[in-house]
Formats: sequence, structure tokens, C-alpha cells
Amino acid sequence: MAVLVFAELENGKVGRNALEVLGGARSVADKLKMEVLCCVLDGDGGQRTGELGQAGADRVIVVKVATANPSDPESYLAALAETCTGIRPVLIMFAGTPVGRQLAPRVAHRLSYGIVTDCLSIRVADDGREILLTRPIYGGKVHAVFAAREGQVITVRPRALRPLEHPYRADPQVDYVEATPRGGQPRTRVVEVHKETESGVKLEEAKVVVAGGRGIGGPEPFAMLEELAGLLGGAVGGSRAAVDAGWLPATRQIGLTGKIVSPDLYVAVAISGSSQHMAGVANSRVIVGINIDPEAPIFHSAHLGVVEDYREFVPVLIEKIKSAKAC
Amino acid sequence: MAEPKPVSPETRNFLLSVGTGTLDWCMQCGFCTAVCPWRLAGGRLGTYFNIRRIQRLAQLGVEGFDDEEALFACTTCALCEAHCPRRVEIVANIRALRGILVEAGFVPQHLDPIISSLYANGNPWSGPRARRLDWARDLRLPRFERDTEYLLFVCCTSCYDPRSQRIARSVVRLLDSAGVSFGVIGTEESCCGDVADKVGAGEAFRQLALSNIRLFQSKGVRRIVTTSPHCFVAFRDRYPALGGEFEVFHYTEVLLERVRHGALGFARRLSERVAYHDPCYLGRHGGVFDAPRELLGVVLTAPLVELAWVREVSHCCGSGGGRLWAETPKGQRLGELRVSDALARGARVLTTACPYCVMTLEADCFGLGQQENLQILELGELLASCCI
Ligand SMILES: Cc1cc2nc3c(=O)[nH]c(=O)nc-3n(C[C@H](O)[C@H](O)[C@H](O)COP(=O)(O)OP(=O)(O)OC[C@H]3O[C@@H](n4cnc5c(N)ncnc54)[C@H](O)[C@@H]3O)c2cc1C
Ligand code: SF4
Ligand code: SF4
Repeated sequence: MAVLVFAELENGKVGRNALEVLGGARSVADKLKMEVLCCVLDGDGGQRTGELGQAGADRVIVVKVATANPSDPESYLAALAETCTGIRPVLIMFAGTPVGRQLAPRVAHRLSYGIVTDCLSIRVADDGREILLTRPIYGGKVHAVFAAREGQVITVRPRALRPLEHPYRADPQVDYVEATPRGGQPRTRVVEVHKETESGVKLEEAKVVVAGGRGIGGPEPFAMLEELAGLLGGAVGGSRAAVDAGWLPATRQIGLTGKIVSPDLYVAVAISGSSQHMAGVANSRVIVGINIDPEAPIFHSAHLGVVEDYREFVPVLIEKIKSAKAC
Repeated sequence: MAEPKPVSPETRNFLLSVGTGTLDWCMQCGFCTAVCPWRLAGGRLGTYFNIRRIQRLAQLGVEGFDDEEALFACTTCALCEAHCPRRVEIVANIRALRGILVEAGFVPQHLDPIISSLYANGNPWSGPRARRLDWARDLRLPRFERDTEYLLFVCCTSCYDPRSQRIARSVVRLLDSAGVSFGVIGTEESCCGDVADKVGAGEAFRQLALSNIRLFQSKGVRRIVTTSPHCFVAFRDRYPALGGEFEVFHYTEVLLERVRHGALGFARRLSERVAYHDPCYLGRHGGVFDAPRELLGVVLTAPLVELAWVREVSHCCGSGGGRLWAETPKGQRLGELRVSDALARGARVLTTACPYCVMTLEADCFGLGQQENLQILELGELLASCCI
């Protein structure tokens, strides 16, 4: 019995996603006293078996498919499913990437396995038999726990699991599987891959978000917010009012019809706190409101409120952070 | 060259079975597309979204009627229905077609948090249920008792949105001044479900409606007065089929009746030039055109400014049918047309009687940089400012 991970490489390297899924697989397999098998495509994958061992794999299965194109899952789906059928692992894990999300349900179907997508955590139940999988439902309002006994495919949300802290083993057993390529014309074709060209930290992933609203008064003062965000390692966004005014690009709009963010720290500068805005930041851990008006509704939802003209307060805050960092 | 598409009788029959019963009445005259306000908005939806085409594809059972961008563009304003020579129930068709996608789990991304919150919190704003009455924090708000005449049902938007809370507070003040016997139930109330209904989330709508119906019945509610036309129409037209028979009124109707009986008077008159925007759900859907105008007639010293498109053919602000939760690029928004029209007619105040309209028109007025020239006021706010 084994736990199987499909390791998708990022630009030919073992990236963060693969490390996380292998780390998660390792902790589950240890509890279940099972091996971690890691499937990887030949080519770059064949060069990385040592790293995969360090990341937590006991055994690496290098799948050779002549026509495999890593970004086109259909080109190696059959080979992968065949490999899994031979092993029948209790659990098959994919990272929740575009490729993983395409492969997982197809593999599950071919093996008649169950599937739970977008898992946030995975652990073994106290009885040592069931695997408990947590995933968000109702738009993240509720976490549901699913219990799997056997034959389960899952996808794991990126950044939900942790890579191993210490290398596991440098010399995993390596097996090669030669698969016959699927005949016929490929049904899909990757036309091109667009990289999003957004500089700095992505809003949706930022741990700290500093946002400005209508009360900022113009585009120039956003430089001040950029500086604050930079010091905190965060990103800058704004209310729709700031976007409508042309002070920020539409990609920086935060709220129900903009980006929904859930940082550890959300700083709302000169934003009144409309429901459309606040519903987009409701999952933030700490919300700080900076507003000149003590009656501003933002103070009903903020954990910390600063009643002050932001033009007075933010420069002082920036100086304080700078001097604290200098110590 | 468009590829030929096979006509599927199965799909057709399925579409008819989910409630597009009037689809076959459509004779493809195209009136609906011609009058749809999206034509005037310019931008992508102005050319891409074609309601006649959606009816046709669905009639034939040909794929394409389920194009998410087009299908969810409709604001369900029903202007097209008002012009359709065959009386096709276009909005009901849209609802059913959306339902096929949504009930199969293909919820458009922008609506996902809304529907989730309706299930989880009983409102579309991700507001905690326990804070449903926050808008009345410092008011002495009567509770609904067995001998109360009206249940006052406050729209979720006015419960949770800080700007919109002012609307609920004004309506309470007016009902109070008019000596109306009213009360709220409070945190056990759920969203009327109109948005769920119109975006095709039929199961969410059913659950919300049934929970309200049980609650209202258990409290002995017979008459309901609403702050929002969306709740008004949902209660009046959609609840009876689920067993909820209540007498439903929009607050403007209740106030007008009190004014006529001399029970409500206003100490102050307004001399500003005021225009009135008919909310689609109060007007075309609800059939209430005169009550707001008559109330305005009592407090305005100058004649009401009428916009280009009013009453039965009024143009939508752009926020019905789930569009309050959808983004439209600046410069292509329906509300901008209403704001511009009011400005062109020399109005200084644009008033309306719906929390969605207020939210949208205000954002669009600001977006156009016209906030100094045109004030957006909800009718209740305007009337309350004329009380002593
Ligand atoms: C269809 C639709 C979709 C929408 N989607 C979104 C969305 O996704 N995201 C969003 O944000 N909004 C959205 N809105 C708009 C929303 O309704 C509000 O209009 C908007 O959020 C208000 O932005 P704001 O808080 O920046 O401006 P305001 O409400 O005008 O608030 C400005 C605040 O700045 C304060 N202020 C002024 N000067 C200073 C100073 N010197 N120092 C400190 N504070 C100061 C004021 O006291 C005030 O509280 C949407 C609206 C519609 C109709
Ligand atoms: S106006 Fe009515 S009959 Fe004419 S195309 Fe539209 S739905 Fe069909
Ligand atoms: S209901 Fe309104 S928005 Fe929808 S198609 Fe008809 S006229 Fe256009």
C-alpha cells in the first residue's frame, strides 16, 4: 500500500508545489506506515530523482511517454492512469495547479476512485485508518472534512501544505515505466502561454495589503501607500472609487467585483467601508482603518481604527517602521 | 464562417421543462433587442449581448444560449417584455436558462461569493446574521408582535451597507411619524431571495423563501411593508407558489395612504429641481408608478423633472438580476445614462426608491465626477428630510 504523488515540475525544476505535496504525503504515509511513491515525467523529471527523494519520496517512478508535453495533460494521462492502476495507491495526490486540476478528475474516473479537490489540510484519523481531508465549501465560509478509506484522488491548494524541513533521502529507488503513447490526434493544443506581467507582490497572495479610497484625493499620494506596502512586504490596491477616478488600474480594485483578498493585515486608508468593498476583505486576519471621520463605517468592521488625516498619519507610520527596522 | 449546429430536440424539451414555456411564442421580430438599454451603453455588452438571439438559440436547442457572458448580462429589467408583441416572458426564460448552468454547479465566478453567502449567512453581503439589525443600533425599533399591523422587512443591502442603512433609518422615521403599526422580526429574517431567483440559483431561493415563510407564519404576519422593491416583488409574486400568502406593500404605498388620510404631513418643502428614476422592480415589475410621484408632489415646490424614459418604459440603473455584483467598465454603465439624463434636464437631485438603484446611481455619479452637481437621494431620505 502506498501514497502516490504526481510531481509536476516548474520550468524543469522541483518547485514549491511539488515540495508541498510531497511533504504532505510524507506525513500521511508515516502515520499509515506506507511508502511515498512519486510519479514524474521523463525528460527533466529523470534528472531530478534525488531532489524528489529529499522532498519525501521513497520511490520515484519515471514515466516515459514519447509524445508527452508537460503542459498538455492529455498527452500523458493514459500512461499515468495505467501506472496508477498497476499500483492502486490508497491516495493519489496532485497539486491544485491548472495541470493537476485537469489530471486529477480524469485519473479518478479511470480508476473509479473518489475525488476531493482543493484540500487545505490532510491528516490521518485517530483510528489510523481513515484519511481526513479538509476543503472549503460555501465560498470559504465553512470547512468540510471528508473521510477517505481507500481509493482517493485529491488536489491540494498551493501554499496549504508544508514542504519537509529536513531532506528525507537522497537516493530513492528509481523505476522506469515505458508507456505506449496514445494514438490519434491530440484533442487539445496549447496555443500559447501568457505570463501575467504584474510587478511586485500579487494582491491575492499578499500577506499585507494597503488599500486607498476616494479620500486619498488623487493619484500622487499612492506613492506613499506604495512605500508603506513595500516596507511591510505587501501590495497596494484600492476601492472602486479610486479605480473609477483613474488613480489605480482596474486590476488593483479590491472588493466583490474586484479582487477578493485575505491577507494577514489589511490597511484601509481613506476608505469608508461600503459593503461591496468589505465583502472582498472579510477574510483578512487584521483590518486596520485609517479615516479622518470618526463616524466612518469602516470602524465597525476594523479591528484597529485610526481617526486621523492619512496625510498626517501615514508618513509618521512609515518613519516609525523604518527606524524599527534599523534597530 | 459559423459552423452549422445540430438542432437537438432533447435539449429543446429539457429547456421547456425547466420553465421556458413561452419560448415558442417568440417570432424573432427583434423588438426586445432594439429596446434593451444595453444598446445605449456602448461598450462590449452593447453589441455582444443580444436577447433575441438567446431566445432563438434556446428555441432551437442549439448551444450558445448558455454563453455565460451574454446570459448574465441581462438586468431582468423587463423593458423588453413591455415591448414584446407576443408577450414572451423573457425574464422568466432568462432565469430558467441561467438556472441550468447554476444548478449544475457552473456558477459564474462573480456570483459564487453571493450565493455562498446567501446559504451561509442568509444575506448576499457576507454579513454575519447576528449583525442584521446593526443599522438600527441607536433606534428604538419596534419588534413585530401578534397585534402589529405590518412586518417591516428591511432589504439586506440596507441592513449591511453603511450608505444604504440611511434608507432603512429614514423609512422607519417616516412610518413612525405616520403612526403606522409596524415592527421587525430581526436576525432570524433571511434575504427575500430575489437575487438568487433571478440568477438561477433556484434551490437557494427556495430555501430562503421557505425559511422566511415559516418564520412569518409562526409570528402571525399578515401584512408586509418593504423598503426595497426587490423584496416587494419577491414576496408578492414568488412566495405564493411556495405557500406564502401575504399582503405586500412597498413603503411608498403605505405612506401615500397615510398622507391622503392626513396622518402624515411634512413641515418643510423643497425648492430644488428633483428628478425621479423609476426602479424597474417598483415600476414595471411592481406596478407602482404613481405613489412615489404623488409623495414627491406633496413636498416639492417645483414640478417634478421627468427623465426621457419613465414609467412603463423607464430605463434600468443596471443593477437588477445580479448585476449589482457584476463589474461593468466605466463609461459603459447603464447608471451613467440615467445620471447624464438627469443632469441634462437640469435636475440637482435624482431620487429613486430602491437601495440597489441608489448604490449604483451614486457610484456612477461619482464615477462621472458629477457629485457636486447632482445629489442621489433615496425617496425615503428625501421625505424624511422634510419631516420636522
Ligand atoms: C456594481 C457595483 C460594484 C461595486 N464593486 C465594488 C468593489 O468591488 N469594490 C469597492 O471598493 N467598491 C465597489 N463598489 C462601490 C461601493 O459601493 C462604494 O461606492 C465604494 O466602495 C466607495 O469607495 P471609498 O470607500 O473609497 O469612497 P467613500 O465612500 O467616498 O469614502 C472615502 C472615505 O475617505 C475618508 N477620507 C477623506 N479624506 C481623508 C483623509 N485626508 N484622511 C483619511 N480619510 C479620509 C472619508 O471620511 C470617507 O470615509 C461597487 C458599486 C457598484 C454599484
Ligand atoms: S420582442 Fe418578443 S417576439 Fe420579438 S424577438 Fe423579442 S422575444 Fe421574440
Ligand atoms: S430584461 Fe432588460 S436588460 Fe434584460 S434583455 Fe430585457 S431589456 Fe435587456
